[in-house]
Amino acid sequence: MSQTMQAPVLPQQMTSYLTDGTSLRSWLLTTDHKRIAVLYMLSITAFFFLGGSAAALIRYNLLVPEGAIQSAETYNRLFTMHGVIMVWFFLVPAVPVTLGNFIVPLMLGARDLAFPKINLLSWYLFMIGGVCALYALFAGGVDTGWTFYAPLSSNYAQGHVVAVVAGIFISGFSTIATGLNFIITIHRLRAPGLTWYRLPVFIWSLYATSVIFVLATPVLAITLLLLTFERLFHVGVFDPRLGGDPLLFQHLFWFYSHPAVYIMILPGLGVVSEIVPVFSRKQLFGYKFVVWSSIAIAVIGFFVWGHHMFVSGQSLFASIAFSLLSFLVAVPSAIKVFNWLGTLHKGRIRFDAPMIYALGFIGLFTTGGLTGLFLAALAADVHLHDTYFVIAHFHYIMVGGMVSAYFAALHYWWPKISGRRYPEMIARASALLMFLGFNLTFFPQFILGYLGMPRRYHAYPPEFQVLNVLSSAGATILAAAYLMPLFYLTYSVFRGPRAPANPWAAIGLEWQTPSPPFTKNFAVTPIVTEGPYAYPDPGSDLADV
Amino acid sequence: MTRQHRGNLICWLALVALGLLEFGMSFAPLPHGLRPLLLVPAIVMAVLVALAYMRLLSGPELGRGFAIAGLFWLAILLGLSIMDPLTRAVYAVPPMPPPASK
Amino acid sequence: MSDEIAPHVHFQYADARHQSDTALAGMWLFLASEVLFFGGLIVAWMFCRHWQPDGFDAGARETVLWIGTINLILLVTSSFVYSTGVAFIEAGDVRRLVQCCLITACIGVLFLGLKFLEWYLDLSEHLFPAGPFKITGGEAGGARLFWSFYFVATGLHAVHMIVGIALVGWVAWQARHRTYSANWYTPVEAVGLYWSFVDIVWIVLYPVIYLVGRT
Repeated sequence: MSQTMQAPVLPQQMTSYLTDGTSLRSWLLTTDHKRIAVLYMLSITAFFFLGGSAAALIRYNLLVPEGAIQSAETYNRLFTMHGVIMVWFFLVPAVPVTLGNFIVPLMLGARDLAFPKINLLSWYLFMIGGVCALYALFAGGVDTGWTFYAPLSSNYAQGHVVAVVAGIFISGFSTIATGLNFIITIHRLRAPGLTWYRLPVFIWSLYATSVIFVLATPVLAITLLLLTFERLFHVGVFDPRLGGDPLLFQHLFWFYSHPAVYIMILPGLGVVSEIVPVFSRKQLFGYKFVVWSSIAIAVIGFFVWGHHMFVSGQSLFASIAFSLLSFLVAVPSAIKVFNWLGTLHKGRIRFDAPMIYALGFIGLFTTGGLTGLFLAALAADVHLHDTYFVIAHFHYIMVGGMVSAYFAALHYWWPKISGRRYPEMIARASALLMFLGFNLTFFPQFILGYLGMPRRYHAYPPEFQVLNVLSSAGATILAAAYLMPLFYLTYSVFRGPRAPANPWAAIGLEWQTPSPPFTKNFAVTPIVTEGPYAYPDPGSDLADV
Repeated sequence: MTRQHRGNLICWLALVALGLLEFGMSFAPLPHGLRPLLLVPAIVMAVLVALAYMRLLSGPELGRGFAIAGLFWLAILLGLSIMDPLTRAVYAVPPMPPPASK
Repeated sequence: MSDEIAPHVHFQYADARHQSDTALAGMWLFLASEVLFFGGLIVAWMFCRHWQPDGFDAGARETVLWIGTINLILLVTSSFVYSTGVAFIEAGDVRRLVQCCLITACIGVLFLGLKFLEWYLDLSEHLFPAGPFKITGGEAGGARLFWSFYFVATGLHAVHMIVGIALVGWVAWQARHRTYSANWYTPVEAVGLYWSFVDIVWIVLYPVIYLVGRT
């Protein structure tokens, strides 16, 4: 073994975190990072299916050119609801608050995060914000799109803008607190011998994500406050008739929201970097390149927000600068993809469910990323902006990439979290079905966008119907592929076979603990002597690792 | 008086002096574009508070890193965002009367 | 580490020093996020000033300079007093710490009192940017933008002050119950960081609000 633990001295009580207190109070007032992770998991699953239902209605509407749901107003509220829920209440939290909360202390050899009570506060803030936003969305909703552009949102939009904005504002503090907790924990609570370059890539990715949490989210907070002030008092901060600048809103909004998309994808990149070595039984290729790419993405990601504003009236000089910087930010992502391919090359690949999701991620993320370059090119963006091409681009990354990575992480660490194994063959079928359904849903949208179909329209010209029907058919398959894990993972909690401590024979401190872990994680603080991916070279005998 | 207390007091005197300086400077006739230079004494005051009262240099090293990171990102936010208005081509529009209803 | 500090050390930390440095690092990180929060407001100020230079300055000339200046001196003094309190507890003097905290909190309350007075004066001059407004004509739009910035900025700062006063009061209360000693006073330092930061925000807001536009 490359990472050793001293002979454990068993304390009096060694109970699994799941059974250490069974009252509702012990769950709702817990400060155990693992229980908080489970609470979050339940919450974001609920939000995922809510946001997904909105998507289902959208795709249903788009089956016919005149729109199956009659009014444009309803359609606008649906895509706003879909965007708001999926961005702020599913994708931004997804991996960090579930797998991150659970796994980070384990990977570091720590007994909890640096600030456990703030961690619990995070969950409550998330729930309060979520309830606030959901109330508004169901009480009639908002029709501005998740981007809330002023002056539509500040002056003209009817609906519960302030309530939704308040919900997002509150949940923002939840993410700042989580990011702060992670950064401090990673700096200060590493086990002895766990130097920076021995950290798993997942930790580096979450560190990079947390930097964005802490530094970008406050700008969203002030933007939403100014929007609320404008909506309440109509002073003209964003209103050109009164001397304000609508682009001020866009600059402030995208300063957060562009790094936010890196919040959404960086954890996924980290997850794939964990899974690919394990299921190729091979060292991660180019470890230092991979970890510094995460940091580079987080930093350069702050310099590119103007690429959402190429056709908005932004100065040409600024547009050129942002376009150049956007091309630059693609480089570290590409470096990661090449490193994964280098890891796979000559590895002993096993196609377990996590690996299928991870491999799907690599292809779909690359497609989405490359199409981002089309959009970063000024001239092409003039044609493609606000079309389905943009929608396909970001769904390839967010859904094809990030949601796949979330499912990959969920399956990979499921035995650790629940102490049970899920049914492998059904899981593999689900993963393949998701890959198929996803491509059927979103590839036609690239073509639709290229042909000029605008986004956020409830109706469209009849010549686009075939592609839209294909897309909606794909969405049905995708929905099935998402529902299957909900059932079999839940089933496995109650009826699945018990999992050993290290079902994947993986290297990592989290696999040194039992499945599920004890409340205090480690009886004795482990001492680390080697890197995180020290699998034996392929070709040498595969002794029990 | 201990060294720490003396340092605190000297810092306070410097801060008050700088405050009065910038107050005085504000009466000087500066063109519109140069008025933001009045922020320079304020920035010096902020640095003094950070060094003396927040003990930036003697506190945990990580704190210094975070402080520098905050300032770096602030510079990005302010610098990149102001680039747009400063370089936008503005086309003159005849002045409109303010809207009748509010 | 001596036993008397042991009760303060939480289970995930190696020792008291480890925990103390971690807590302070956490506060610095939080303050970095606050820098970005107020930074967004400065972006709004820059944009509005750029697009409406005359009106913006017309609005700025209506600010109550004497209150703003006195508040600056008050806050700077409060940072000095609190920092003196930290120096006292470093030497083990709990009584002086409590006194310094109470003086700091009083200065904070005085600041807020003057702030409310200033708002009252502004509102009675019809300087709230919505509704009937003191400045009319071509400069009205820009002036309203300035006063929007003013109320949002000073409002947010006041909220931070209220939180700060509560925290300083909490430190004083804890100190009176013999929680702190020369060996352990981390919350005192952490609250001091927050308080000094709120001071720095006012140090930057003061010229931005009261001086730059006052041609």
